[in-house]
Amino acid sequence: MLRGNVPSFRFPHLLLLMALGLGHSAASLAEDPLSATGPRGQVLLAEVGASAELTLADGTLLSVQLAAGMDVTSLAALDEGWLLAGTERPAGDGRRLFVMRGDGGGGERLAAPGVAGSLVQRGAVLLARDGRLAGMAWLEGDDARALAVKAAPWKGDGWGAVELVSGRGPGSQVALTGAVLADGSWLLAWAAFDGEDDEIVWARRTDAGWSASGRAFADNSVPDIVPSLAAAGNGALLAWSRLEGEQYRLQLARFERGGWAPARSIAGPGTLYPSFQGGPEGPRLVYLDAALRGWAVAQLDAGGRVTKRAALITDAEDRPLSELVGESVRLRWPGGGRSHDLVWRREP
Amino acid sequence: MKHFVGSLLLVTLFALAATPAAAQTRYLAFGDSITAGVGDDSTRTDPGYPSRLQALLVGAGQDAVVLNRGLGAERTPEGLLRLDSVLGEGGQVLLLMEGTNDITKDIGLETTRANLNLMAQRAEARGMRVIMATLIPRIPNARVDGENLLNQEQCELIRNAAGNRLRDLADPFEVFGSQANLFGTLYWLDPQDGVGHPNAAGYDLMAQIFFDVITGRDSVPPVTGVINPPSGSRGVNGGAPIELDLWEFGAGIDRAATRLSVNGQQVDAVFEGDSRHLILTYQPASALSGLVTLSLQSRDLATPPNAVNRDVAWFLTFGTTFFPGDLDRSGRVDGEDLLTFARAFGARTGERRFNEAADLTGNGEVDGQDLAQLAANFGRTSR
Repeated sequence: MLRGNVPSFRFPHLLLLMALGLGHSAASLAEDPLSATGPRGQVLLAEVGASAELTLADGTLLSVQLAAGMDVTSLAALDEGWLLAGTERPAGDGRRLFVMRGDGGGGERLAAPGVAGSLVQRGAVLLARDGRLAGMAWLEGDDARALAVKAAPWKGDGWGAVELVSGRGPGSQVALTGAVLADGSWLLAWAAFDGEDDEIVWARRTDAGWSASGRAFADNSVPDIVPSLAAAGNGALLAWSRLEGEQYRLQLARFERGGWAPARSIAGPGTLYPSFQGGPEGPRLVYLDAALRGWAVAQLDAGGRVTKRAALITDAEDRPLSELVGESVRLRWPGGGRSHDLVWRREP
Repeated sequence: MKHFVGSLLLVTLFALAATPAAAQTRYLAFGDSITAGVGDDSTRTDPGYPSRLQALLVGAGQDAVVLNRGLGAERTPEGLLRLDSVLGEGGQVLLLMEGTNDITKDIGLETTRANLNLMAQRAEARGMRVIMATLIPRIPNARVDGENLLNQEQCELIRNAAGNRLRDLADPFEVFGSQANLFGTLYWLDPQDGVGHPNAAGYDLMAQIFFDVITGRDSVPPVTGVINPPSGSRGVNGGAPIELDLWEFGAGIDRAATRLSVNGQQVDAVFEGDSRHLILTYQPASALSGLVTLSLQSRDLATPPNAVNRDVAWFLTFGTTFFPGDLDRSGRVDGEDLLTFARAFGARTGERRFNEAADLTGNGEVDGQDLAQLAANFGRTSR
């Protein structure tokens, strides 16, 4: 098969490796460890060497056997155990969704939502709340540069029909994130090129079906990238980075009563790649602070106001997990055993 | 007055001490781990291409210093922040090669292009010359885009970003992609490498690529910029026009020797532009169908000329039907399908090696009957 500018005859080594059955690297996670919180506590998944290790809420450690080429992007903590989702590369250029579920005794493959002939699926996001799986969303298309947003509900014993959330856009649609809100509706957000720059686009699924997808905020002429979404109170919080002036800065906005409150900048220049973590104590936002050359964590209230913050200078590339330890916050990198307890700095 | 003159003298002396000799050229090599030198010979104290480039330049008689300002895992949004401090070190030339980690981090290609443009503009605002660089091919095992479809489009956007702003371009994607046994000879074979880094030989080649650009030695043929429909796209309207940007960052395109072919047949494409940038447009007389392959034949005006004669893009039209055995739905039953099939051969439903696509008869086992079907269609192309 041809590969554009790079015809296959120019990659004979690839063919050799595949013939030997070594053509895929070991199963890999997303770049960063994944965590999810359910009624029984937090579940986390981390890469340890060439394999994956799942830590359940009761401390049980499971070595998860993933087939070669699997790429895990989402984790859920359920009443009856855990669920993880991602994509795998079964043949040629395609990538397909896969889902695994399990408990303290191990895991097994679960059929993925149906596919209507598309070759590329990416960015699987499990949608769960209070220990129950509601559904799953993902990006899908015929080639990796023109992906639609799709979703499927979980019916208890299998996936419901695949739903189109948003069709292909004029360019990249990437970085899908989602949450189930307190009222049971689903909220999705992603970064989409609108012909000029990337904007944050969202859609919501209620009993009436999916809303039309659209910009979360007024059109601007600067990139808005890599969003992260979490349910909070009766609404949700969205964090992402926007090019403000000459640098990217972390933004935050609250979704409430069916719409978005104005976005506001909540961190300094060079703040990127936010991820919501935390539990009953409220959402915490872990993000890269490139100016600091390290990772920072912000404790938020349900309204999205930063109440306290801590930061660590480190050359660690992976995003750490955060947890409260007394009056401190701990940043931890599973697998390597590194952790640092940090003192909170209260925000005025 | 005497005090003022004394101060002026001191300031002048300080400035002279802090500024390199006038003849020396300072190159700032800015990028990620591929600039930093990850994967290089571990015994080297100065890994990566910058130190090699400096040696080449000094060997050629230049008073040059090439500072390695690569930072592992960096993406362009962080690069934007770090760049200002690097530019503050002072220099005449920025060597800019970043963006492969953006692909892994879910940053859109368009944003990466915009970030790279911003970086280049900041250097140019300081009066610096900017040499932009395409990325190197990602390894087939890369966690994201091992197929190099996103990477190729990123490189095409970088070529356009350089060409449209009259910047110089180093083109590792083109040069690396032209090497025989690329990954076997030029790459660091580390199982934990999720992107693909050069080995010592690869860094030697990278240094040579930048050296050629700096010294004006044209060693790269005309290269493609943005192609529409993009290579690898599917569901394409077969009647839509085909448009291809062709760039030449050296001696210029030999227009008379430039031809576009569709499915192996030379077509009457319309050429617009000049010897640096040609836009080739072809409107099919009737709708194309199935697998469409675009081939380019061209050369530049260098002596001797650098020539290109190969397939540069492929796409599948809407409604393409696939022959049994075309497991990857590439529009052709070929060796890759056979290899995929071989990996699943003998496996049954529920077994790890089982591949539903390879079970052509649908009997729950990848067996000899499936192989017979694949063999019967081997070499067939969807049209």
